[in-house]
Amino acid sequence: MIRRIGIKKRILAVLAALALTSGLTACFDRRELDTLGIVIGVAIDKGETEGETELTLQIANVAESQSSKQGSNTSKKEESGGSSFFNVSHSGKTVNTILRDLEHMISRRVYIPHIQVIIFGEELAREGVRDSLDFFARAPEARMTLYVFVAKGKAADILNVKSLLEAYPSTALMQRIKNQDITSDTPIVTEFEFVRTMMNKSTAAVLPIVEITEQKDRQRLLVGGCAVFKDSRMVGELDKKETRGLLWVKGEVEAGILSVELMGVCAAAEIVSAKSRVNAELREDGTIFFRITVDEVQALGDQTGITNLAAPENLPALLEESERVIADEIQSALDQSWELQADIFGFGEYISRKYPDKWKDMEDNWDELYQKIEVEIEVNAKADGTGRTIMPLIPE
Amino acid sequence: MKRKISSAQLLFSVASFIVASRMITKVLYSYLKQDSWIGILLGYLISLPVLMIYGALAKRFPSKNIIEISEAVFGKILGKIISACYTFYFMSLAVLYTRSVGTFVKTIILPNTPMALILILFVFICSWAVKKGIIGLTGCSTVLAAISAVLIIFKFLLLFKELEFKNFLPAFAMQPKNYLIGAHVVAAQSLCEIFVFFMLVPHMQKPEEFGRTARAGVTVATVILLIVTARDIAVLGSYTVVSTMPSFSVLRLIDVGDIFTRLESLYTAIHISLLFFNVSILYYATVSGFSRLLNVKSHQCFIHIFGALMITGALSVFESSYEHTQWNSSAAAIYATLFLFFLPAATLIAAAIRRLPGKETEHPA
Repeated sequence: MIRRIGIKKRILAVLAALALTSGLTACFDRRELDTLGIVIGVAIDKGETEGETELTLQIANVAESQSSKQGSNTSKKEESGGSSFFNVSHSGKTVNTILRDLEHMISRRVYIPHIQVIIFGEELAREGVRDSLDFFARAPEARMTLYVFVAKGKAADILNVKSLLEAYPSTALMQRIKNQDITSDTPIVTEFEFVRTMMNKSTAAVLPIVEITEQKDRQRLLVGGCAVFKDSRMVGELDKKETRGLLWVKGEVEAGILSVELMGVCAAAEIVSAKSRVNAELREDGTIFFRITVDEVQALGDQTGITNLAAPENLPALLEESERVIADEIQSALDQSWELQADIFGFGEYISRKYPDKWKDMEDNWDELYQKIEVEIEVNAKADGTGRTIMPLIPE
Repeated sequence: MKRKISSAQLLFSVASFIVASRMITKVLYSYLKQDSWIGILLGYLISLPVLMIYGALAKRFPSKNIIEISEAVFGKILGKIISACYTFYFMSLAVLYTRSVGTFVKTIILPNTPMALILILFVFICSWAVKKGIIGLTGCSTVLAAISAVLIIFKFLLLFKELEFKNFLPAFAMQPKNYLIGAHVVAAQSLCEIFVFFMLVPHMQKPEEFGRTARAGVTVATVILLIVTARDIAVLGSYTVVSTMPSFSVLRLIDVGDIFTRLESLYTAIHISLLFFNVSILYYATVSGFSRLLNVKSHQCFIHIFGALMITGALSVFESSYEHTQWNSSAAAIYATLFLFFLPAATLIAAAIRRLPGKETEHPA
């Protein structure tokens, strides 16, 4: 074939190919790295003017964070007066408006695909987050794999708390939430998961809470517990114990410590794995009944005293006590959800899946029905190992 | 001897043609939500008899394309009118697919680039394909279908931890009407669109196998569509309904150990290649149909005219992408049914009544 194509045609083909590809260089949409202000964290608060939102962006100062990583030249760092990031705030009616207005204040184009965390101020959260989230769910370049938080107090303050280990406060916060799976005291919620739950009529969404604590004149971030959202409005909080109660039911407990006290000693039972089942039942007398079954496997993490909890004769008591602790956590989460009138467990969804027809009548007054549901909690703990020792360190 | 299309090539062409139309799953979600996969199965069932009509036509008139068949059946004048309808339909499909390329590139990759530029580039390449040989292009379909199948499976595995199978419940919870609409959408806007391959029948090695091969291709594609839909529902749940492009949204959620992430360029590449394939086939059908209409032997002279028409058509057909969505979810299925079901069915019935083809053209059964 190729032999038959003349030289003229070949040149023409090359020219055509060049002309075509030059159209794909995206001249209209070019974005060079040195013109981008890479946003890594966003804090959203209620604005000072009624009806306005205050948006704070944390923008990475990439060049600076690299020189500080090399570390040696501290004087240079002071000269440039910079840290590895800077925060900039502005208020407006919608997020997108504010972002455009911010272009007046910073030298670079705001670039959002690398946002790691979004933090809502508590005040804004209580009035509803739907409007603020719209942009982040809609913008084509934005990603929904980032983590969302609610801050106690003002969200913008969280972005000011510097971390000793990480270059950016946003990264520090993101790393912190990623590690929460070893305590299971805090829900790990990406924007996508939050939006997906928010789209559900009956289930209340939750977000982890972050707050600032003072320790020896140093500010630290503390993550724990969660905020409960009903119809995109924050209606209350769960503390750590209640949060884990919630996570047990949702099957999101992956690891963690159960503090148990029995026979005069304290022990930490390490959760190795956990599974949960929820069985919904509409009984003939009209009661809405749920059976929560949690199967947990645990190892002995450590213990005080000299009574050997790992001994076969003591093990059942340890397991029983663990079961009681877990059931207690779940019960406290339930009580709090009734208090807040929010179906955080998604019990409504279980009904809608099992009894789609009856659910249609229940859907609209689920809030009232939720207060009347009956719940039975069943916990089965199983032992799995005692670590490198089989008994406390006592001479025989 | 000119190259001919083998049955296997046609099978893969049909499959990748349908896989490219998977954007219609979005329409499906709005009617059937978590039951969309049922809609696909139902759509498959109702498209089978339609495919049999195509098969019967191809058997009755071996080595003829649909334009030639309708002229043979309905005579000079009525035949020409019907052929013109088909050509218009192919053209309109080509325009719509071209438009969806424009919308896709504009929303996802190049928001500020004028759509005209994107479309000119795209249609130029398609016109090249039409000019240099559609036969070779069907050969490529094997690779296209294979790549898209592999990618779909790969993405499925990467998304495994995001899958929540409880999202499928409650099953069978929609109104019966919605299942019918959903099945209709699947059949008319996706599966039966392979009708366009009727224009390639004369180029087949074994034209009489058209019906069977098309059915096999549609079956393969249905399986792929089922996987895609099931994945979207299992991952997105109630979010599916608000998403502009569910399959794309799903991809953006992939994050395996912070390493396998931001994989949407894979989707972009395969999506545009598949659409290129579809538009080229439709483009070819349009120009060859048109040249046949005017009794011109070669269709080469019309390629650039129709290219220009397609670009302007695609630019002006919808004011906004919202309108495109509206069209897809309301009128499109009914519009397509006329060309994909009623006209071919009428042709078959008329042919049976008139005992066509006559003795002189009858082929050994």
